Amino acid sequence: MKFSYKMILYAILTAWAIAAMMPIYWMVVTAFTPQSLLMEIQLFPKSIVFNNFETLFAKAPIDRWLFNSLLVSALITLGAVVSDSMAGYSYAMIKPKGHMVIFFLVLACLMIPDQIRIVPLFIMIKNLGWYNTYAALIVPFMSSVFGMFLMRQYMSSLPRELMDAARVEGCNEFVFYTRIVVPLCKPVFAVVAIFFFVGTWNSFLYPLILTSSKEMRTLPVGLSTLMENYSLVDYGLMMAGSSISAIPVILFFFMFQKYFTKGVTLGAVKE
Amino acid sequence: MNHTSNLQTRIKRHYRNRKMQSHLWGYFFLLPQMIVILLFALYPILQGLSLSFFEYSVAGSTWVGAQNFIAMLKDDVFWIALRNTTIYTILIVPGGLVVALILSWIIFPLSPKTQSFFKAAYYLPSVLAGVVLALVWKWILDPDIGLLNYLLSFIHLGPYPWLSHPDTALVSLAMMSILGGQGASIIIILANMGAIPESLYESARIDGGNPWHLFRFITIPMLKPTILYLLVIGVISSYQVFDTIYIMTGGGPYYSTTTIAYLIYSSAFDEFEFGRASATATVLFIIIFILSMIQFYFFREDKK
Repeated sequence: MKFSYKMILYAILTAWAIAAMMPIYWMVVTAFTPQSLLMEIQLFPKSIVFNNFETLFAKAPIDRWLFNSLLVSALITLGAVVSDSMAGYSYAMIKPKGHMVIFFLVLACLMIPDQIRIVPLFIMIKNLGWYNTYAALIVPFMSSVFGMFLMRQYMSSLPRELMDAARVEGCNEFVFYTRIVVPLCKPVFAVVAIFFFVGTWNSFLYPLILTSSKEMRTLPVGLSTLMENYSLVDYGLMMAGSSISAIPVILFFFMFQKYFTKGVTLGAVKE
Repeated sequence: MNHTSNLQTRIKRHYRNRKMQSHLWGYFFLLPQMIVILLFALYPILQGLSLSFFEYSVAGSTWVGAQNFIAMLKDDVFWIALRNTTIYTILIVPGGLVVALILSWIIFPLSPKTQSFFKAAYYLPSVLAGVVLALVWKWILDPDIGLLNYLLSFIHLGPYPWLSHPDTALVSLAMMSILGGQGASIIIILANMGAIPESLYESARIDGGNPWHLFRFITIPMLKPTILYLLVIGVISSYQVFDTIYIMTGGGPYYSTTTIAYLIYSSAFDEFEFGRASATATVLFIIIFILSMIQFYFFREDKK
């Protein structure tokens, strides 16, 4: 009796896991299925072909989109880690006059939906002459309140004696930050960097409204432009493109699973 | 006498200088983030709120008072979008939370290795781009040659029109979101379940509590802050759903999947009604704000 009860629970878990991962499996299978065989659905493909990828590379500047996504994600991640950790350090350890007021003002920005920002940001980028350039895709997003919040939280847990000792030794804030705080904060740097990289790699709305030419698209936006209309879609092609976007992040996830889990729970779990 | 007080003022001045210097360093460290946030977040947000009251044109904007809001309220599509967004949120947020709680409760007693396997399996879809998931699901839900109708045909169900019919489109989107979107919630719930003291369960077991009692009267109340957090985050993000709509349905068929965020996008970038789009965004902000406040009110710790 007890045995069968446990079996049911395991069956529920497994069924849900299969359902959650099935789209990923189906994406990869479709990407390697010849176009002519898409109509007859084969759960386990009998042959593997690269036709869809060949068509994709011939039809769209996929390599350029990959490069754009990589460049934008890397620079935003770098900028965010630097600016968020500097700000986090100031809020956690230096606490200059009025820092709480600034902190709450900045935090309030988190509550406001992106949709309010898209139109003014679009106008601003146009006026700056940045429309359809890398600057538009990168500069406005080089800092994040959430990243700063995580950094601040982590840095607050560093022992205060460290700082007092360094001060007595005549160490200024900049040296202290680069030589002592940064090395101690490696784990939280990794979490913020991974989240930023994946988040930017996947982002859609902003690159969609801030670029217009084929050459300036990032991978997700570029893929969406391959759909000519809502009813007529070449799924072999789309799944090949989706796989190119998805497989790097999936590998990334398996390499850094620990950091992903940490990032999800940071700030959401009372310690 | 004179000498010591002199020394004292010198020491005082020295410390004051040190303190001044420290403040300046503090501001220096805040500077990079402040520049980005002020220029590209705070300023556009304030401008967005004010744009709600203007008719925008490149030559210059003209003040139109509440006209954007009036036009919006008179527009049927706004009310349809509001209804769609609300239905979608009601389907996926409480529905998703119940699923996440049940799955977490089953996973929790398992060995750490099995736990991390299931956590990875449930979280994996969330690392993919919204666009990618939307494209894959659009393919799976294809009414003629999609995988789901094919699988359902084995148990003599369907074929269903899924996204291509106004009655089923929104529900299909909700189903997709619930199925793949529980990973983060499960990880958060499991972490918080681990913090519930074992002694609570032991004493309840001694009093003759069955597993359901333990879940209902210990796990759920102890997880209240977590549940609140997940509800607030869930509602905020579900009211802003955009990528999937843009890719999968374009708001159709017959506006059946037009959400507020999609409406804002299309009034801004299909119709170039910037004032109108900003007015709708302002309303979205107010709705999200009120909903978060209501949730906080109902889940207050000291509620009597």
